[in-house]
Amino acid sequence: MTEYSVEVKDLTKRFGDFVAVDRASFSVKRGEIFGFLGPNGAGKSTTIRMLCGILTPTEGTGSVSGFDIMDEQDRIKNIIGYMSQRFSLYDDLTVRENLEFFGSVYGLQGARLRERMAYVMKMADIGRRQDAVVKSLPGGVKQRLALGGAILHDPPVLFLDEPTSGVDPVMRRTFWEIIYDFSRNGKTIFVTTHYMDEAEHCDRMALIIAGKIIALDTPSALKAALPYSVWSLRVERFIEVFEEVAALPFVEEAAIFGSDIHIMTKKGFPLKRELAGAFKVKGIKGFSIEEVGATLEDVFVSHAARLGV
Amino acid sequence: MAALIRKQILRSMVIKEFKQVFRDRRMLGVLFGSPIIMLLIFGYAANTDVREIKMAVLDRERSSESRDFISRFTSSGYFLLHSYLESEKQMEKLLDGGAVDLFLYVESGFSRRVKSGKGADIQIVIDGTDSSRASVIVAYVNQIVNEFGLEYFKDRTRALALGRGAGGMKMKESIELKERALFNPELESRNFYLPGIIGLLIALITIMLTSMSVVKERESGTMEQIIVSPLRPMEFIAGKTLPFAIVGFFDIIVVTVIAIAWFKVPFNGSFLFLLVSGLLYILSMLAVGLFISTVSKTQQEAMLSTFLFFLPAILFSGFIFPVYAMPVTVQAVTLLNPMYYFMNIIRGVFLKGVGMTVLWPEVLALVVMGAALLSLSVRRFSRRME
Repeated sequence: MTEYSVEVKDLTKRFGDFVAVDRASFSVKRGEIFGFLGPNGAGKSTTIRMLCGILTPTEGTGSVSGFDIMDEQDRIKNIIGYMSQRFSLYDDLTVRENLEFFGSVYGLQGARLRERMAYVMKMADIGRRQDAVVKSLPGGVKQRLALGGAILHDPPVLFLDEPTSGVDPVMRRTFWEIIYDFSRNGKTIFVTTHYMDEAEHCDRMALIIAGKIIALDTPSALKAALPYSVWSLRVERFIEVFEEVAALPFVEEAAIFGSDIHIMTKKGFPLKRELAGAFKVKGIKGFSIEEVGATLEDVFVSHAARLGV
Repeated sequence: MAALIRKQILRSMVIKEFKQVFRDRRMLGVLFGSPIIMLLIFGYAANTDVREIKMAVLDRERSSESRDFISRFTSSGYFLLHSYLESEKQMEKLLDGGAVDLFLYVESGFSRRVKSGKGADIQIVIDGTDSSRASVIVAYVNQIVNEFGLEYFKDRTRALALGRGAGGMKMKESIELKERALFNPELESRNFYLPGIIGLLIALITIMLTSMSVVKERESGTMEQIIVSPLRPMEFIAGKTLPFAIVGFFDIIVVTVIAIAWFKVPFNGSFLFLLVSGLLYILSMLAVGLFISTVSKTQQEAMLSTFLFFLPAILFSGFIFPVYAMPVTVQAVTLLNPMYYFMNIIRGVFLKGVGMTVLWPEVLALVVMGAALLSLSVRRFSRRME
């Protein structure tokens, strides 16, 4: 067996003229949490669906745990867990009926099935609601149960497609604790998200925009590789000032972060002095500026700007 | 090579399907509502037997002969006297409003002309809106008029012969037609329609439930979870069709029993033969259901597609309109309709009491068509699943 759980080379998916995924290449190490970060429609789900065997790639090759995604889907299906973006358990069956059904589909029976069901129900905080119809459960519980459905058969590789979309912040934290737990138990996790802060939880991550992987590394390395200095500007009437700032020639990129303005300049550019001069001319007073560490969002914005999207 | 269907998994699949059907109101409606409605409609309401023909009469003659003539209508059991009219103007109103089906006009001089042997004219006006009903009424009228003429002629001849002193002469009977309809002696339309309902019902239930339950999985997103699981396409297909095959089979038995026990439809054939051919028919209908599930995205679409198949299938099955009355090209279409063959089988079994020796071409057609449809649908379905 190789060191990598998932290996993909030049994976491409076209729908007619539309290129959803464009020659994606990456490898996911065993036991790693690998994040796929990108806006909606960037090709995250399409990639995950090709790896799980829901879609057939147009071109390229890939393998999961050494099994080829084109020829050995049958082998792959037994060793992966998949949680789709949409809730995908049976709404009209009870918690127990759902788990029994999917358990049997994966060949679980008897004591083993009961043990796994108990584990999942504890993780999803089902309590005494085992015989409640899934439809009647609160959203957060349903979402965790969906995750539970994906890990019922204890798969070594887990694909999670936006597992936390539509989940409140507290529940999101719980979710990530569960995911960390899996990772500690040696499971490989491939997760897509469009939350920048979530991407920080990943061991490594790929940025994907318009079907192309534009950067791939650990979150800290991605931030370090940013060829810009990031500054935070605090000023009154920041919305009006933002327009002015964005138009300054030495500002590479400007974006509003809450009530601050983040400005990117070339590394080592003396922004404090230059900005004071520019503001004096324009009559803008009462501002404070400091250099801050880049966030993943800054990384993302700079890449997006470079590609003109 | 591993087995196409693992028993344990198929069992879970079927149990799951049954649970879902019994929790889904829409599906329950199809399951229990449609047989009840169809039995009621075709058992009670859809009666094409022509009886209680409402008749208005304008009798200008008012003699004993004309009254005798009119009473032949009313005593035949088919005609109901609505009213005696005073003028022809009243007739139009009654026919327009649909209050009467038939207007009978006896001219004055009716008995004189009959007696003189010159021949008398009577006029009837029939509401021809429903052409088949009108032609049956005409047939009844002709029969009554002929009988009246014949008897009158006979009486006259006898009287004439007696007058000439030929007392011992025996009258030869003229030709009289004695009709006897085989297989459905009372010519009850109910006996014709009720067995056909089994064919209708199985088609509706198996096609609609199969397609809807498959499409429901796609709609709700559970299909993706199924696709990424090791569940094999054949297991999924079998799990989706077996429950509805069981339901369809159950329906055959229930409707047959109700038709025999409650509606007194004669059952002359072999029940076993009915069940075996029913099974073949169910298979071909399940294949149609699977096919529809591959072309429908939503449950509504599946329902519409079902009816898109269902209505022409009924029209070309001979359930209501006889196939032999259709143009030759249309008749060719019926040969591709599994429902057509099953209608023939089921009526043959119920009314004629025939079995394999007579119906083997129909059974063979069902086998061939079922196998072809099933392999087409399964292949299409598996491709979509992978």
